[in-house]
Amino acid sequence: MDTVQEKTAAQKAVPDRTADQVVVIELEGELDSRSAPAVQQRVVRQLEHGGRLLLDVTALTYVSSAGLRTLLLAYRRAVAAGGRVALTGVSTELAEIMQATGFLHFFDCFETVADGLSALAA
Amino acid sequence: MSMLDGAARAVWAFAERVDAYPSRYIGGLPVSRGRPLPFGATAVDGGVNFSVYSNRAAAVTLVLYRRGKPEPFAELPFPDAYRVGGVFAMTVFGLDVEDLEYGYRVTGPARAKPADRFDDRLVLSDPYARALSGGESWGERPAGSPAPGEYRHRAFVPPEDFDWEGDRPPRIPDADLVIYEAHVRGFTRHPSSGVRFPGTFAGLAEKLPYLQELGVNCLELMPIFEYDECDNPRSDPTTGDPLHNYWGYNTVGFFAPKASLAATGRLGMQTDEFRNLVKQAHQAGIAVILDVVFNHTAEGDERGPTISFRGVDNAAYYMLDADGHYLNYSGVGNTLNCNNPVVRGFVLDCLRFWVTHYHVDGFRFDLAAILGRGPDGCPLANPPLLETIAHDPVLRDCKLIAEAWDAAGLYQVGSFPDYCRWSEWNGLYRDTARRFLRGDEGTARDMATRFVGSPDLYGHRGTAASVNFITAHDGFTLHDLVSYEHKRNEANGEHGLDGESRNLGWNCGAEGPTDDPGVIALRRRQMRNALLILLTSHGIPMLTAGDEVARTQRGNNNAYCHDGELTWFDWAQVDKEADLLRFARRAIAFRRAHPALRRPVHTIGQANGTRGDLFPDVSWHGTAPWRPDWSHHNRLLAVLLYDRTDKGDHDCVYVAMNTYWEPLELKLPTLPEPLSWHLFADTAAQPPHDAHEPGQEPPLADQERLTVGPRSTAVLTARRC
Repeated sequence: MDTVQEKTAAQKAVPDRTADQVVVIELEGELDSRSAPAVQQRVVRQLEHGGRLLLDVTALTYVSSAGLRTLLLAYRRAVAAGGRVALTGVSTELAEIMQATGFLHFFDCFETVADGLSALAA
Repeated sequence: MSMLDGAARAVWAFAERVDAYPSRYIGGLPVSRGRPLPFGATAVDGGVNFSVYSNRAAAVTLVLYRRGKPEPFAELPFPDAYRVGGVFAMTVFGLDVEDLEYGYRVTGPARAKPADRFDDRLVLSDPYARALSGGESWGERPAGSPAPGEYRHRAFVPPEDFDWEGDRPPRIPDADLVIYEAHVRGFTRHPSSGVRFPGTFAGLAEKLPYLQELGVNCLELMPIFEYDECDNPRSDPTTGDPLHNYWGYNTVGFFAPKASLAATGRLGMQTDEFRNLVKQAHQAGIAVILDVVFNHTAEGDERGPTISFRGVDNAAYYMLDADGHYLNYSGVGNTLNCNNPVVRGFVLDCLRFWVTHYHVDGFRFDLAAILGRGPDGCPLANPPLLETIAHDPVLRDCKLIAEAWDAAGLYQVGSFPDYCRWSEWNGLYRDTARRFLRGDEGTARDMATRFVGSPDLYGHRGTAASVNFITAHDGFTLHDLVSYEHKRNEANGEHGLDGESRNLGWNCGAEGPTDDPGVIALRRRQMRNALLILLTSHGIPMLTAGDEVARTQRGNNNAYCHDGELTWFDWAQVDKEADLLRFARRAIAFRRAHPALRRPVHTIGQANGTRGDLFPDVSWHGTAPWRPDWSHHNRLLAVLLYDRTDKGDHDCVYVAMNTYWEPLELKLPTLPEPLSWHLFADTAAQPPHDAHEPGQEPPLADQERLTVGPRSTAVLTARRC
């Protein structure tokens, strides 16, 4: 067995934090089929009762098809539960991939965490 | 909790399957009996279901690779118990689909027939592969010669879900279609395109506003199924550089969108990117039709590579003679055995897949006459494949367009087995329009027939059976049709012998580039004449990408092998040829504005007296109204088309086509008050007066006479004063 799994855990050790009732989840590393289930679980937990979620993707180095779907599922979950999901720290490369594949337009994207927080808190 | 959310949860409880657990280990992996349907590899709960069929195979082995690794990490022979008839099906659990490539080894029966070409030393691509890796970077050839038996076109399992957001097909009535034929890469690869993703599905999506503005509503894409652009063995005779298979009429994977046509192909996201293009096109009101090549495959003849079909069931997939040699009706080595019952199922599965998984709106079938041949190559009176496609419920709303001929002389324009469903590329329209445009004697009568939707060919089926075109990817561009009389194909590496020699073009007085202002002016007029005649004819008009801005291929009429300036759309032309582009836009808008030009039913030359029509649905005229000249030497065609608008208003369009080299003065049919003739277009006039914005046409000063310039076309419409 290879050891890619540890490397691809796309979650920071930093716990989710809440500011102005907005939950911030920081993701890092590779968001792919290996790391996606845990991320999804985490997102779902936060969105169970609605709520507002800011996904900080600044430290993501790679997003696969499964990763894109994880982001979109977060969005769909949020809509279904009456909550909101936004992204911050989207790199140019990630934005281009999401644009080309049609995933980008679902999301509000913010330059900084502070921008995202104030928009979601509003 | 919303109702929707609740319903989803209820369904989820039932979605958990009791058979979603492994029952044994094969090749070190947990597996269970698979589901034979659907064919191909499908992600299921906890694993991947693999299903492949071959009626002649004795055994099949599933071969699994980690992404990009040369050697497989597991080989799993299908147990006999996992076979249903000729279908081998197995679910393998615990696979990471994002790090997986797969293929099959297929073992033939103990007693081989001449038609068999089984070789279980080779790993074969799944005929139903929904995505292929190994060709993500356009034009990148494998370093050195491929190792014998190297597995190049590797199948993988792409995601099937996509958020279509209520996407709906535009369902444009056939008679309202204006088709635009384009090559995905060629449309935006040129540096002048200014798009973020040049040469890709995403790049094309960025240019949808251009198509909307032009007014076309149906995008016909040249091949986008996986092909190998590097499989051309020829070289450019001048530079020595290898030539490409740029067009892509040589399919490797029928269920897989081509990775190197996607900006995200290197990430394996070509399926998402193509879906997004279709979704965006639909949002722009544009239908998407695929040019599909079911007449042959990229495996060629006996000397060609074994990629998939040949090793899975050669005798089923290909037309063969008694000795097992390939019959070649396609001109490129082999012929897909389309009316073999197994292959019929394969073709139908494929078409349904593109409609259900990618929401495409129709298909144009390359060399479709082959689809009507039986396994022995003889044309069938009632070809089951064509009939099945025509009546299939999944395909019911799809546009079906046949290129109704093949490379072995079967020419079926007007006689293609249509089941009142199939339309045809009307090759007679193209040839007649070309002869008429260059002023050949004796063509006006035939042009009249083509102009009203070729009732001699399609009278029982309606005008939309005829896809009218003057140019297509095959042959000269419109600019070159009026600039060259001889093809210039030396760069194709076949000593200039390839490509059509009978082009029916006219260079307007000089061959190729010229400074002669008279020749240049005449060419401009001829391009406008062609566009205007095409866009006022009954039937479905098809434009070739770039013709609206005078794209040239420098006289090359078979540019399939060139990936560069010769074939790419140069977007600088949009400014350089702004006048021609405006003309084309207005001609398309005029077509849209006039139901008399978009009649679904052929005209009969009579007025509907009960609703108080002013004129017959079609009437022919000459220099004197109501007196057409059908003599051999006549080079004038004047026609009055009449219909009612949705609001019941009179819609009159008068088209005068003069291919004589002198001006002609025409006396016009008289209009009743308060209508008067207004001038929409006159190709003899200088831009921007060559065509007016529909609805803003100026009235004719002289309501009785119209002078049509030499080799010019004028279009009038009746409006209230």
